[in-house]
Amino acid sequence: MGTSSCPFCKTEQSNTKDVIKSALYLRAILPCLVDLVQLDKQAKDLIRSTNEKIYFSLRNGEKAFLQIEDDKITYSPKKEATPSIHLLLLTPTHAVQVFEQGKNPFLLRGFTKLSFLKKNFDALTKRLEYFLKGSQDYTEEEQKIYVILQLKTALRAAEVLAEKEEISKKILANTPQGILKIAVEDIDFSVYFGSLQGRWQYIDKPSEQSVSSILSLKDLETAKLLLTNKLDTFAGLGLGKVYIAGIIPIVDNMGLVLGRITEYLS
Amino acid sequence: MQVYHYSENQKWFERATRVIPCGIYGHFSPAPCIPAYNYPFFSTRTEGCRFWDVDGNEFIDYMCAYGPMILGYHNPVIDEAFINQSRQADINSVASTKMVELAELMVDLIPAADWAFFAKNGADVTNYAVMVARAATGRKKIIAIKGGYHGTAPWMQGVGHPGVTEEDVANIIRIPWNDLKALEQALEENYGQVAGFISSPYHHPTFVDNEYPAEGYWQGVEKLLKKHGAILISDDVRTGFRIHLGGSNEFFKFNPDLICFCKAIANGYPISALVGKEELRVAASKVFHTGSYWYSGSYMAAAIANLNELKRLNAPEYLYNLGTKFNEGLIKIAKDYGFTLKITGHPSMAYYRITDDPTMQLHQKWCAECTKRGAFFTSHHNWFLSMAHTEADIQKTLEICDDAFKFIKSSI
Repeated sequence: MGTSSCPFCKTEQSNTKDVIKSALYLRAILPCLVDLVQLDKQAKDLIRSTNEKIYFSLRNGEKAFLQIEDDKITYSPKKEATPSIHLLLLTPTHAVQVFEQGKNPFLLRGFTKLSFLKKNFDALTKRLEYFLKGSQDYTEEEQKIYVILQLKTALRAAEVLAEKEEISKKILANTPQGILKIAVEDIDFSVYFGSLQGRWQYIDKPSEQSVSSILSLKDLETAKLLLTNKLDTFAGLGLGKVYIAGIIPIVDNMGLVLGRITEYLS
Repeated sequence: MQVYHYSENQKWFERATRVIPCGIYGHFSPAPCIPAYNYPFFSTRTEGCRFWDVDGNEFIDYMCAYGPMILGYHNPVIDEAFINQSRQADINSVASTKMVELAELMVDLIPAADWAFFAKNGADVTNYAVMVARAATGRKKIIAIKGGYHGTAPWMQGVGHPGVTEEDVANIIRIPWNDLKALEQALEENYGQVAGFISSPYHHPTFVDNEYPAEGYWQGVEKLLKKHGAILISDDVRTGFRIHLGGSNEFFKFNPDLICFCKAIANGYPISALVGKEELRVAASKVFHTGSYWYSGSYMAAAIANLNELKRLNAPEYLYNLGTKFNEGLIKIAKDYGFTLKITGHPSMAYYRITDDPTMQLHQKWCAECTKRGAFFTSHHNWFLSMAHTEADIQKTLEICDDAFKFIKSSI
């Protein structure tokens, strides 16, 4: 994609990297708010008794619709109802600046909701950042939330890369069809990613019979060590902390795609 | 039947992870061992077709060091040749006469060879072959087969692998195996740019069934490459001297310009070779390619002894017959338990897959159970037979396989 100037914000039209980054924020990071308020009491308290519909729309690009209601959040990649708050992102670069540098989005609807946005929603996203950035000081419960959010974000991000990133597309084009299950055994948690109807995607809850590959981590500590690059997968396999089975090229190639995420999100 | 345990292996692996990336890296890493806890990692002793691990478990080895071992571990003839030469002269400041003798032997043994060049590992000579093809043609692009393995240099790997850039693979065109139309299309679309085509004599990738060349495939390849002035490189690193002593191309009846050998050339002593046609001698001479240990006379002496032994024993025929017998036995046992074992590739280095489970977990469990009972099988790489495997070893292995099938059947 080439670059050109946006007439409204005078920022450069985004390059491919920003197109991917903006999609990662809208389709991999924002959906984590759904999980965050389910898992974390502090996050849940921030939306208690809140009833808002927040719509992020990237002009000519990705959308994200967050509905906050009854102490929970639901996510959709498209507008599900008339939003109470509509935040416009003019270009992918603008979107990246909003998510990474705190630049303001264009508020098209919800002028009376500024207080919620600046206080509660901002605090909520900071709480998410706390878990996604990683910390040495997590409590045991926080460590569990960290691992769950990291794994879910990674697989949602993989879906974006599978769709938009040339290298990931090439990797997955040479990958057998099937569904990968990533499990953390001691907390009985699993996430899934695979090919459905010819599209590689994050899968919420497939049947166990449809799983063709397994990457199983013995416990939360192993998951944390892997996520923080303090344990390599091969060593984990030999130590009995990591277990793989099934169609191994899916495990191998998904490892390559997941490794691509750090090109875009740090 | 007794099953093995690996407590000492585990202790050594824990030590290894503290100081070595992966604990054990590359193709010896725990990754091909599924599940890894059913496999040994470290050996203490080898003899014939067997190795013993640090727990004292004894294995009949069906990986043969992933190909190099062909006459058996500690073969006295090869070891004596190596020891004698190393006592006289090994690495020093000038070349060994053994280099000349080995080159003469290979030129006599291999019909497609007019000269030979020696290095250490397979990738040394696949790299060199590609450089020679480029030097000879003045072109950049190389056509290779999807899933074909030629080593771990960046150009040999897929884009997206850590440490590999898009530029590294920019001049590599991957086409499906046995697809002459794809080869023709690649040559036409890159007209005047293709230096060479590199492929194993038959397709033996990991994870999928191995495939022989279709009728007329290699002849078609030769015709297309000749038309386009591109070099034909046979990567015989894994197959060489197991299938045919003159190069596996003799078995499949084609005539490559360059052939890469390694693995079975010296029964485990580290040496590889590129042989080529007269027309490429000058191009080969222009490419500067060398290494610190490439002139070791001892390994060359071992290679000479090994090739002579393989010839004396008519190794390819023995391995073919033994492999055929082994495979027939395996298929029957599998069938007796209601399973289908599909066997592809050459009988001396076949690829095995239980087809009853598309996720391959059944096959992985069976290979692991066999290993725990003393037959060392990995689940997704072709296995290897050696001249040290006897009919008695095969019989013992079939008993192990039977017991593993019985266990698998009862656990479903």
